[in-house]
Amino acid sequence: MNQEPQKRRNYIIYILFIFLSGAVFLADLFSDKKFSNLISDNTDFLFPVNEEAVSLFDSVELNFLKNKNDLINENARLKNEVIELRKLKLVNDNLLEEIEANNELIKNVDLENIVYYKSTILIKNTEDEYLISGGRNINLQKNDLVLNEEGFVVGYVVKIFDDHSLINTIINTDFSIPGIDKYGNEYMITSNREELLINSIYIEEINLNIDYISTDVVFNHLGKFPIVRLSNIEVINANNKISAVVGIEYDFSFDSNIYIVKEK
Amino acid sequence: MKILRNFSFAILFIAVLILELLIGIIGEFPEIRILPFLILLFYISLNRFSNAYILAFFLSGIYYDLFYTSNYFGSASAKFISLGIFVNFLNNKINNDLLSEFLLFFGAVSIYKFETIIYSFSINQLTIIFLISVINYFLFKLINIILKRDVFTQSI
Repeated sequence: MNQEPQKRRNYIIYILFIFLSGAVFLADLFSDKKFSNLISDNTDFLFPVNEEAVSLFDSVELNFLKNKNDLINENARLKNEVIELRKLKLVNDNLLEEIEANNELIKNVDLENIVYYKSTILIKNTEDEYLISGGRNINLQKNDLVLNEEGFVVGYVVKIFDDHSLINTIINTDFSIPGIDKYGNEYMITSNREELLINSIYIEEINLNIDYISTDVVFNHLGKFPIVRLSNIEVINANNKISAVVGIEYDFSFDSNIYIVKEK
Repeated sequence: MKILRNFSFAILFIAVLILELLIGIIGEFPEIRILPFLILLFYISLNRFSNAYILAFFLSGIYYDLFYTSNYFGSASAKFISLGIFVNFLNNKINNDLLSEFLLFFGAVSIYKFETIIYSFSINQLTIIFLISVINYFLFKLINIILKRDVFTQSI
């Protein structure tokens, strides 16, 4: 008997809270995110995720797909490989030492005026944005570039917290970064998750022999870092506009080594 | 007492939300994810829909917007509450069979991942959302069975 009015009351309250959310949204929109930034800056301690927690979860392996046969076969294969592996171990040890030395060099290397901070991915949200380690504690700022192991730009910082930051990456549809080629032509590079879309915004010289499009100090970047390689890609020139589409091959994973570029 | 209870629901929601984000780290297939927070939202909207949970819906959305996205404040809250109303309203209108419930769950996943659908709609994305729905619906049913089991009425 009493169910229907109660249900209606519930709906009304829920709808009122949607309006409340809308009001909060508008307040944040018109204050240019100052409202949310103020609150998040003062309540940063409520973020519980850190590198230790992430590595703990990362170490969990899902083995339920393996059956007994797979394990027996795998065991036989591994026995055969042990002998080979012993031989390779010596070589491998030397290489590991070399890699470790190189990583140490990359980790905090100073090149002229630039420092590369090594960072790790902490969490991926439902909109496929990544939270990475490093924030105000290493003096990160909005739009600081994020590079992959090969030195290509794969994202930039959009929101900064005390010890972590949110980045916009090449797999986000709102990714957008200006770049320049060796002829001085300027481009806007955007993403549709699967491909990078390159469109010229200023043409200095029409030449389709473009190797790389990179960041530049003219866009307030710290220097020239490659964003995309166009060597074997079809570049189109139509109506004095240069454009190209490049498939995204880089896979983000929680083991990815990423580096944030900072001024020394 | 009521306020304390409502806040404890909010804390539960936030804990499950964090768990969902941490679970995202594990797994071979990064696109196909287990979504315990969505299962919780669906369960509450279907079986326990009441004013007691409104603060939990609202605060978990605010918390998510604060620390995990670059969205404007309040957008996740609006999404979670809309999802709750959508699920409860349609559940009252449709037949109580497995297919209808699954379609409802598929609708809930679509709302939950609506950014993906809007910004990069493709058959591939739709297939991924369908697979996410199948896996998470199975988990939802499993949880539902466990929570519904009344051990005291079972005959020995």
